[in-house]
Amino acid sequence: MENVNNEGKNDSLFPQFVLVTASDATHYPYVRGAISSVQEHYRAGTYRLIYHDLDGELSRAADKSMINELKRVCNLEVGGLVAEH
Amino acid sequence: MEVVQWNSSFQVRIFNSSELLPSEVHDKHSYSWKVLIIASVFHELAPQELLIYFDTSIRFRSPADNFGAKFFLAMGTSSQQLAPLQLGGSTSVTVAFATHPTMSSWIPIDPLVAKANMREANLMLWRRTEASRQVKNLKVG
Repeated sequence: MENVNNEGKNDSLFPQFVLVTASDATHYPYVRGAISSVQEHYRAGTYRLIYHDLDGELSRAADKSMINELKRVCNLEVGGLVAEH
Repeated sequence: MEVVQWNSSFQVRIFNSSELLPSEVHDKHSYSWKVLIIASVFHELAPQELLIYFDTSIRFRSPADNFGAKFFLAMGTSSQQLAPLQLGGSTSVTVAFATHPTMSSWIPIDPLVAKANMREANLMLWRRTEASRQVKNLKVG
């Protein structure tokens, strides 16, 4: 992961970010909004984002619409990198 | 913790309360999962990385190098002048939402108060310090 700031400049003083959040299914709409705001304001390559699915409410739901939508929001289908479990 | 790596930037981890938390605090509204989640990420944090925990009601409204730049730079590996801190967000949840559901059986809550909004959604910035070392030492399944 490159150590660059949002203007694309190398900046050894500028740290790299690990963004962490969590939710259950009830709060999924908030997750979407939060992740969208990260994508809007953090340059790709300057961060990694870890979403915690509390008790697997999204991942293990019979209706996969929420987790599938989250994948789309994160542009995750590109390059066959999606790892199903 | 079950991990699904979607790509190099995004990862989903399934947090099983029943495996990782005592039964007394399984309820998600106790927020007992939060400290374990932060601890688990600390186990793998690289020296140059900063951990930003954000509640899902947080919205980032400016680039990382504008938003809180003075905080981030002061916490960077070169300076390390600033310890971990917690910032309040301009978001809100109701008192009822933020209160453990069994609390009202012990201390009755006025329905009007329960509907009142609380501010201060969590936005926590962490770097490695003695305090974080102690958090890191928490055992996470």
